[in-house]
Amino acid sequence: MEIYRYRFFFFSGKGGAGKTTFSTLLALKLSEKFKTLVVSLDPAHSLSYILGKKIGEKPTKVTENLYALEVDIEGEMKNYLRKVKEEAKKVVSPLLLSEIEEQIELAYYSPGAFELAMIDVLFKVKESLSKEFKKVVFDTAPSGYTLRLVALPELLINWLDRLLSMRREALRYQRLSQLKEKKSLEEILSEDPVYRALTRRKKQYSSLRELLTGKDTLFGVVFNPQVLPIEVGKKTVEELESLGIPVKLLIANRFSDPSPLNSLFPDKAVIQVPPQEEEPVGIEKLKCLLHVIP
Amino acid sequence: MEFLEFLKLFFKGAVVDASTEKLEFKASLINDQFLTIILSDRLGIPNPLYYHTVELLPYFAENISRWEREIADRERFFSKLAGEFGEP
Ligand SMILES: Nc1ncnc2c1ncn2[C@@H]1O[C@H](COP(=O)(O)OP(=O)(O)O)[C@@H](O)[C@H]1O
Ligand SMILES: [Mg+2]
Repeated sequence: MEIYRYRFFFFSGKGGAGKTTFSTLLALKLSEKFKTLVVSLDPAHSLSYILGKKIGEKPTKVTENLYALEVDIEGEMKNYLRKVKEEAKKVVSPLLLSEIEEQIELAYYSPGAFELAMIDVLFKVKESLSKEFKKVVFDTAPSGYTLRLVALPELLINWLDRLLSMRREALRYQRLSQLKEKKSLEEILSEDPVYRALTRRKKQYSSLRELLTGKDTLFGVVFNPQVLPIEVGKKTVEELESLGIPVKLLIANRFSDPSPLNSLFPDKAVIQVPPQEEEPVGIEKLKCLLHVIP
Repeated sequence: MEFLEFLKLFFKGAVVDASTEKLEFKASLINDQFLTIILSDRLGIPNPLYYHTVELLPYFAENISRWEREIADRERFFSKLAGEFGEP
């Protein structure tokens, strides 16, 4: 398994299987050669615990080349909706404002809101931090909702194209109906907040698919015999692959003998992490486990 | 996804091309379509992308009263249909 050829890393697996532990261990390994960031998007952050160090909302230095970050998704949601409301204050007439503000507030509780906010954060981290950091390990198990969205990108992209052309039509009619000096349609589109927002979403959804399924990404599944039987874990692998996400690595966490995994998946790379007597938390204990990653 | 199915049907029925109409009216019909998508929940179809589409809402706010009247009419229309043909 050549881990250094990938740039982005994700691990799926049941709660308690060892995702955060392995993500951190892998990040530590990657940081031996590259400037690496490990990001938690889990609302129940545990990076601070596993690293034995308080991790902030800005990349926090852990070792020479390793940084960690815990993103507050709910805070991001509030921020985003606050900005939408500020925009509403600017463009909506006072008579309609309170109805629109209420509609905006509802979004916080709407189905899928948290997952969509997570997508925003993934995109933001990729756009803003992947220049500074050569390797980024995401400590988050993308939910079924997110994965289905990834599986639907063509539909979504077609849909956005449709909305973009509707918007173009509307602005074209509006432009034609004006008698005074006219800007070109392209100029109008480039300044139009709706057209711009739709263009950004289109870019974002395609980028999400690339991030989860692209060749720069290593997507792994963590198995743990104490948390669930390997046959159940096998289902997770099959589901991911049926959604177009190739699973390139299996982690046999807390396995004394990884051979059952090897025989169940003869074509996949398996990394064994033996059960430790003490919880592998803190940099020193994690360092003792680095040798398990080839 | 029910929402995407809904959108497909919705687009089929809503081609804005009556060339006798005024240009501004055509633009506002398209704006109504945006409201229908963002607020599809009010027509009984949950919008799974509501959190993302809500950022567009402020720009269509001026249409909202007219749009609400229109969907109210549509509801009346649907219930009349149901009355004539009975529930399936
Ligand atoms: N190989 C191991 N041996 C002993 N304890 C482990 C091992 N892997 C993980 N743990 C412990 O198990 C608990 C759950 O691991 P964690 O990485 O937080 O799981 P997840 O992120 O999948 O919920 C943690 O307390 C961690 O220290
Ligand atoms: Mg975890």
